[in-house]
Amino acid sequence: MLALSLFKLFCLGLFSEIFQKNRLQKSWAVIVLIFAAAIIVNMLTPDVMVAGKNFVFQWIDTSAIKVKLLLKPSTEMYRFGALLGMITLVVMFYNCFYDEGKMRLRNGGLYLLIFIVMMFLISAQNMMQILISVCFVDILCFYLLKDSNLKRRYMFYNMMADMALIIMCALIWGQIKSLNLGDMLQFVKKAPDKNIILGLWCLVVAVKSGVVLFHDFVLDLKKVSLVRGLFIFYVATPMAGLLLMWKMYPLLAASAWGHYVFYAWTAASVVWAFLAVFAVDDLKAKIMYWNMMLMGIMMGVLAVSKLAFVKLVPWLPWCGIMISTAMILPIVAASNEVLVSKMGQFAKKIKFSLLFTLLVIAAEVQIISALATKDVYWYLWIAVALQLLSVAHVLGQIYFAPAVVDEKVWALLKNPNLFYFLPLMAFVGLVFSHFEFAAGAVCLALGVVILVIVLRPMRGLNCFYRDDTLQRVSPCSVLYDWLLVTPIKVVGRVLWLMIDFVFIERTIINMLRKLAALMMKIVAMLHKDMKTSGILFTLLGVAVLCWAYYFRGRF
Amino acid sequence: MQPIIPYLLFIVLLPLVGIVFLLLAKDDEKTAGENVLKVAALTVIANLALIVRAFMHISLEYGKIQLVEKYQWLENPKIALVFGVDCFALLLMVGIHLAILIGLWGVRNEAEGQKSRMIFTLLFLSFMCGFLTAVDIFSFFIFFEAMLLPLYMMVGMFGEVRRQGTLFRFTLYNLLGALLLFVAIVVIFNHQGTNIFLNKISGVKLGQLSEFMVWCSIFAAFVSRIPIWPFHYWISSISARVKNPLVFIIANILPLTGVYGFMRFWPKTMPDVMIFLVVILEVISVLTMLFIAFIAIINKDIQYKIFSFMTVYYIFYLLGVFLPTDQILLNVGFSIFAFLLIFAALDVMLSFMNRQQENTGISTEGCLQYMPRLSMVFTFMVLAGIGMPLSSMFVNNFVIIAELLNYNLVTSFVALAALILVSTALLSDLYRRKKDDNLANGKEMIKDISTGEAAFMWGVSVILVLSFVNPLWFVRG
Repeated sequence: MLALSLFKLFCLGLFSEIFQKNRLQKSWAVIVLIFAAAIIVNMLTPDVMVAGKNFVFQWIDTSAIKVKLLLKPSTEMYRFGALLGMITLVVMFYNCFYDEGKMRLRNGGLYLLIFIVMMFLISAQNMMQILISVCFVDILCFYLLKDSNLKRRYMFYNMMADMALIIMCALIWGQIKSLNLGDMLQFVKKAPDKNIILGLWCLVVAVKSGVVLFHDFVLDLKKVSLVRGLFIFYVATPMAGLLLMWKMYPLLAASAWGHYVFYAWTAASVVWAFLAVFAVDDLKAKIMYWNMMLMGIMMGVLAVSKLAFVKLVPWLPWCGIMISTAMILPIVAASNEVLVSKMGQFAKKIKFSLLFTLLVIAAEVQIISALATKDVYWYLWIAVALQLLSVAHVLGQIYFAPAVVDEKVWALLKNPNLFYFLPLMAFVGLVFSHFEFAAGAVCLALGVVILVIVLRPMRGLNCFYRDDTLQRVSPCSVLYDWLLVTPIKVVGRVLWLMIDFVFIERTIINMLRKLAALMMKIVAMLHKDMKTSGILFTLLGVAVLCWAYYFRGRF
Repeated sequence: MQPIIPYLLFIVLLPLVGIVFLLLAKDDEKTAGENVLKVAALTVIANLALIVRAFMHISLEYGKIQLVEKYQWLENPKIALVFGVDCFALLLMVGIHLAILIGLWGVRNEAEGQKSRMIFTLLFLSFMCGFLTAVDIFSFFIFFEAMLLPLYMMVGMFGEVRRQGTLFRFTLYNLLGALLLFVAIVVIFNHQGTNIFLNKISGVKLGQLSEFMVWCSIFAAFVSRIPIWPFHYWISSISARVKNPLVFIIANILPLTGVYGFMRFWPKTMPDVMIFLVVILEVISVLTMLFIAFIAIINKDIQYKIFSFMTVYYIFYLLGVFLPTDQILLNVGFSIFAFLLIFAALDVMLSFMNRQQENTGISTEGCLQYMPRLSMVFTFMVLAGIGMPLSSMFVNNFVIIAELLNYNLVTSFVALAALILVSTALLSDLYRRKKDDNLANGKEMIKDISTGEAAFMWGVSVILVLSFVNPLWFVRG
């Protein structure tokens, strides 16, 4: 059933990709959405996702390698499948009505295809299925991104990660000749190259998740529409990174340092994103930093406890999506003005948006109160507090800071239409109806947030907005340029000039030419009608005879 | 079961029959080369069909020589030409035929000299098939050398290169290789007194010095074909300057003969005198890979980048061939199959872009923005080329990488670094061409590929995807 549902979705996705219509795109996209919704809702039931039958496809069966593709229903499959499926549907819904561009049908198809691939990743029991799923996600996302610079950075980061993953899996498979995850984990504990394997794995997870040092491609998502950006964040690449960590989790236990690497990365990501939110002026960039922070938080939760992660993951991405949606409200209201420094006093005109943003914050606090387990309790609260503090700071600037708004923008400022609020309402409603109301935590958090919004205690940090270099330059890109790209280019140029040109062209080829000319000259001399040439010929014959005599019997 | 018809002889001869038809075909201003192109394409397709048919008669194992055919050639000395194939050789033949078919499609609009170009192409194809089916040392040597003739003519006539220098290098390296292989074969023949099979060479016991000399000669002969430093220079000169896609494709198929030569000749259990050569080869190979990959990064010429991509992969396959196991050789074959198709398609699309650039004067940067259809296929090919799961390169490269890592970690990491660098070079060029912030004027003059052309290219992509799902799908079918 599960395989059949995914196959139907695949056909639907393929149809959207192949039969692109220029006319009535919106209608076609809606039709695809309706069918997709019917299939996904029908699929997301315990009968199919937990108690359904396994699907096994014997893909490669040669003497060198054997690969089976597997779709195995399980509780985890249900949890993650429900999360990704619902996000996909919401994104497809927005794609029909709000995404800019004329590729609604095609994008809808890509969303479906990515969702299918992610389901294969969740269900993977062998390294090859993981490898293929992860690479396919990259390829499909590559087609989903429209901006060429964005594509470039995205592909470079992820190609490196994919290569590292391939090397890691190849290193293991080469020694145990089994692709099975269980066998792999057993082997790695005793493997001689354990540290290389773990190092590669940490690198892959970090790059894919878009945590600090590798966050540039994630930050670039601000250039695409928010709908697409959030989809890539929470259904595609960074989520694939987290799932990769989850699937190969026992690898962490194989080393003494694995946990610490992820703790360090989490801490660095949360702190980096927290500081960056204060520094950058672009609200879309801030939104991406909040999401990066959340991704870091989820990675940290997983590094501490797999159980806590499985419990929290169906809810935490929704917090990211909803906070992003709430923060996009001022941009929509202000005729697409994205610079926070050019906003202020919005509370006078779009109170409704502020109210919903506060409700979403309350919902996030409610989720954390309900789901934070003991082992991640303090860590989670500290990280979320940092996140909410930065959100409150920005909300204060937008809604209560002195207005520096363009007159035209101010005149047109009004709450976005109801469609933007619907998912927020649904989310808040669902959270407060699903969990027991944690009055203390929610009231305390809201109180602090409102205080920060109104008093704006960190308003002095607004001076960063005036620093052009800070707004323009990405420190990580500069770092890579200096440490990686420039040395490679210098070495390449030196090799090209010194070895290819000077050594081969000017030395060897020239020498061979001169040698050929010399031989011609000698032969010409030998053939001249002179006494010396006769003597030379005779001497040559004698030399050959001597050589043959000396080496007799050796051939 | 031995088939009734001598498939291998037919496969070698059919292109020659095609040449006869080509000579008879009308080629004037009116037909503008179209006639001869159709004859050539039809010949290649017919031969391809024959090869696919031959696949039905063999078992899919590496190294098990099947469909053996023997033809007496000389009485004194007694030399017979023996043909035979295994799955690997047939797979390479299919790949080469498809690559040449793509190349023919790339030169379909070139009228000048079309007849001679087609004749030399078919001649090369015939010799290449002969080379891949040769089982004994003499036929192997004959075809190994014979294929240089059409290539020499093509580079000279249609290469549009700075002819003298390039041809000098071409002759120098290949002649040197030919002479060395000839000497080695004569010594072996003289010692055995008869023509022997390729797989028996490692069993020939010569004196220590002779053995050393013979293996060194064989080694140098094959190395001269593969762009391993310092022998890479002749092929890099051709690759960087050749504008004609068909000539480029054929010139870049040639290194495959070196890899294949090593595969067939080189014993798995090495004579002691030869072990140091393998070590030297390994070191030089990985250094060459790295060296060429570094240059690919800084060189802005896409032809050079594709050459680098090919060189790095050829050497990667060579390292796979030298591993002390026969298990992965079929994987090498599957990977080479997709690799040939990808580089041929890339070069043909590139020549289309170059033509558009020459006609309209647009710059390389952002040129793909005007050609959305071409952009999609080109992107697909680049992604498949860098090893994404879109062709048989993915799984099979994985197997080769695994074995390499298993064998020697340091060497493998250097080789993998080169693979990553060369992939980065290809990707960076793709983005240069897709850049959307430097769009030129004259958009209306720029042509995208037609629907039919796009369908052809997507057809190639489908074959690649099928090769990913199952490289021998046409056999099972």
